[in-house]
Amino acid sequence: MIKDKKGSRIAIKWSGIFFWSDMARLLGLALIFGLLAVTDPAGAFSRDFIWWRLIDYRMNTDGGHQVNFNLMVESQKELTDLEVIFLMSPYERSGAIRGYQKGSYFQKAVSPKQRDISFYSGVSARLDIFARGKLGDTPVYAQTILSTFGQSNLPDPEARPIDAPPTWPTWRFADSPRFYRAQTGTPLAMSISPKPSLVKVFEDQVVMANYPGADQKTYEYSSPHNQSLAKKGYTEKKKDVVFVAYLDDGAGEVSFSLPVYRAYYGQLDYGKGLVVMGATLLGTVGLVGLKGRRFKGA
Amino acid sequence: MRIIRLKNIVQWLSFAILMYGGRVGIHLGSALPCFACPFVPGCGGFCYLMGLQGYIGFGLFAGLAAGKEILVALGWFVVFVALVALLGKVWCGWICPFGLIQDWLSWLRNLVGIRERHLTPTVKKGLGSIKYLCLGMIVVLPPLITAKILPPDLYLPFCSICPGKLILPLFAGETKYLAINLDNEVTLWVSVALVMATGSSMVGAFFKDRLFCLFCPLLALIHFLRPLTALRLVKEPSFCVGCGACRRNCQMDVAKIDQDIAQVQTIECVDCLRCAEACPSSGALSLKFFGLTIYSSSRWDTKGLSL
Amino acid sequence: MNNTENRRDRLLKKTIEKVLAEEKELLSWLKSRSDYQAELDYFLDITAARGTAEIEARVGRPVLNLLCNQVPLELIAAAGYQPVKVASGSLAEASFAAYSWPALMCPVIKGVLTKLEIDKAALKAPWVIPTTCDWVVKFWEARKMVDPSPGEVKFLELPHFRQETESQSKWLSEVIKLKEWLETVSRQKIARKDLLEAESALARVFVAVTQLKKARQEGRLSLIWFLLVIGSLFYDLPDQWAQKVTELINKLPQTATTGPKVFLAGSPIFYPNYKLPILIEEAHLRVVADDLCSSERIFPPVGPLEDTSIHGLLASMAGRYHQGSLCPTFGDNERRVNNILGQRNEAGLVGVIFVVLKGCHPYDLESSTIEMTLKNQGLRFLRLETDYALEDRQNLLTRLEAFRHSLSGD
Repeated sequence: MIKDKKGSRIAIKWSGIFFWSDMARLLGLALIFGLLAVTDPAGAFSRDFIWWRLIDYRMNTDGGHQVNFNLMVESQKELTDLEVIFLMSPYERSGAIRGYQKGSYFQKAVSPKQRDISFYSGVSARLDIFARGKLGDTPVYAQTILSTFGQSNLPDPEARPIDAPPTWPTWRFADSPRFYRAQTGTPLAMSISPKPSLVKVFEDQVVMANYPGADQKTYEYSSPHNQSLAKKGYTEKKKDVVFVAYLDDGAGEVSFSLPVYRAYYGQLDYGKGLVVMGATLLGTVGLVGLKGRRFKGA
Repeated sequence: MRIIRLKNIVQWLSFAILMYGGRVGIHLGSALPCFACPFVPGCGGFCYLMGLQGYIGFGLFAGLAAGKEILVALGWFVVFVALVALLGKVWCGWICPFGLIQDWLSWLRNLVGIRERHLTPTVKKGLGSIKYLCLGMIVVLPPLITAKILPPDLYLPFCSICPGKLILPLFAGETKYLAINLDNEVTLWVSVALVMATGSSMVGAFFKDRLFCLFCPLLALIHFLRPLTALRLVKEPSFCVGCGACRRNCQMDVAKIDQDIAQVQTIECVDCLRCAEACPSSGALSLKFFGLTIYSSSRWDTKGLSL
Repeated sequence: MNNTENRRDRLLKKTIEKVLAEEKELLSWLKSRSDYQAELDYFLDITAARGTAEIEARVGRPVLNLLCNQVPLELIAAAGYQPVKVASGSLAEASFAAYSWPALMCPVIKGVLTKLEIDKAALKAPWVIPTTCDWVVKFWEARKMVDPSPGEVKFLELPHFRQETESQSKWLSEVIKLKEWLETVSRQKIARKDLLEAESALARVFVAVTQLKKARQEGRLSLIWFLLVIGSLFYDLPDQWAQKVTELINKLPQTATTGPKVFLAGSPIFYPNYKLPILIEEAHLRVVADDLCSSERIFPPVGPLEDTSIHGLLASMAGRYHQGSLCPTFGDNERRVNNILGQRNEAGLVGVIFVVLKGCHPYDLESSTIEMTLKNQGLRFLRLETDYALEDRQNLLTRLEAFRHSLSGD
């Protein structure tokens, strides 16, 4: 036995027994790891992901609205050639985009890359924000829509088409131009053009649904809402819902992020959680205690 | 150095890497054969069960239209198999962060002098079948959710009730899974189930070493891949006098280990190596990597004694 | 009646003289050996002064007597007693017993019965007796012939199938009852810290025993000294004994003795019956390991503690002293031979000497089963049946020398 100087038993000893099955396993493992090293699966399997995220929405004292979006990028690759375009609805005469302020930017292996973009707008408007860039060699696109700032007497912005750069893939709503308001229980339906090969829906970065691509398909995503909880006046919660479409035509990935803002009436009730936990702990201790007495002496 | 001391060091390092590694840019992939919980913010890798549920849900629904997604799913499966083949049950006994938390509970129990509870074979068998129920949950439910037969709030059904999802994020400051989620009826009952499963598992793990490992579907998956595993616990029955020291020290109460047979690494075994350390017969129990003996029981070793 | 009593008393008096003479002769011989060294005096002294009163004076706590090696020593110690395994290797004591007891009786028990007539204090001490072999089971009944006073005694019903779960549970119940009995007898509660301290002390003793085994295997310590040292561990406090062992080990010569390496198995060898070890030495055979319950297996190996609650410690003790015992009174003891096979390569064994004391039926039967297994594994085997009498020494020596020739190919 090979020992270290202090005679430790944690040492390597060749027992001389080396069956063919062990050889087969060794070769199999070597093959797998060799293939993995050559094909760079971490790079191949990682998902390059870009989407807009609503961070904050505030109403200012002068009646204006301030919204902060982050452009989120998850990728091992550098985001290059970034262009950001803001397209306001027909109501741009009511306000103006104050500016595009670059926020902090950092790149880590899997941490999100953030760029803070804030703007100021007056009364109701529909805002489309487009971003395009490249992650490595892959062109990527991200679009988000922020619709209405609370005014209800304005015409449906959908009545007038939004001008987007013609070469960019864009999303269209089939209906419901506003924030997705799940409290009504209305499913969000939208069509996508051009046809994607795959559509994934993420909620808070967790994949909620997968759909194979189709022409002009209406994708429904809905979250049920508990009316009784709403009546009890629980506070609102915000979730990020992101639709990601993967295109066949070499245009790359197109993502559409929907700020599902004020979507849920729900609450994380820590009090009830602790009560359930406490009852479970006591109940289990009681059960174990009883069982313990039965096994005394065993 | 005691092998158990080395195991503790590895456990602590693994805990640090898997729980906090993401904050320094470490990510060990999405196919780890242990409870490296993706719900921990800044974690250093993902437990394979999460991806497995996602890929099964997607794969059965989208079929061949998925194309690249199927390759991704298969690829991660191959990585999972390779990792299991390399280290086997050592993932459970030496690396799993949730296993370390259960070991802390056992240490606490010992500190206060409370006796360990042992399960009768019948009860142990009954509780052990829960892991197959969990595996079933992982395989059967996701496609039903994707096909909208079951509500989407049941997505990742095993993760929804896994105690690791509640406990591990606590160590990263995330407390939300302690709460009852009142979004809707489904989330309400799922979160109640999560809290109850966690509470009972933690109490159980306090009184019985590594109780949750009896229910763990990953342990089952790793055991199914045992024919491929390079690192394994091997017994030489001709050196065993049947003193039972191994069984008495076993965290998982593996009943077969002191019997006159060679195949003693049953499904419950987590390669903690307490058996080999306690065994007073040289060469009776060994940890082998292919033909190489890494660690072996010895009549001369007195390091593990409480002096 | 008076004549019979007087004759018996006279015989007893002569026996006491013979016992003293036996020990004096042996002591003198031991001190004249070339491998004698001053560190061994401690062990010789405490062995010579092993009467109950002498032990109690030395250790400062009362003695509790026990037979066999299934009684948890640390539990006895935790109760505040000095555990003393009572045994006898005296020819004189065994011969006296023939006056009252069957000829073909275990000489160890015969000797103990005589010892009780000599050492009256041993009768007053409490006893713990596991029901191992027939002789041990009948011992207390026989003892009442010596002294009809009831005495404090606790019998432990030993289940004779150590691999059966029910047997293990039953034995644990016995150990728990032993604890309760000890608390009654000693009038003090056995707390968890008492058990932990006793376990730790025994662990330190085990470390010392391991050092002794290592030294013997390396050839630095002869079998005779090994038997004497390890047999003396009951006669002093465990830490004191362990420290003296360490001092002895540190002073042992580095040079090793030579000769074919053999394993010694079978019936126990107790002081002062060193007839066989002396003959083995004269035949130039080197015993590197054994499984005698008076020697290497004087108590089962101590291991790490997993559960340190009171119940956990008792369960660990119960398991070690029952399942971990290699006594032939168990009905499922086939794997005992693996202890020999497991050491074969490590210790370089070439043969096994199996000792059977006349009247010892369990070892007698096991010698046959073990012989078949070992011979199939290519190990040479020598069975020697003997008692404490010295008349067969030449016969035994001849057989041992022949055995050595067969091992070394001379």
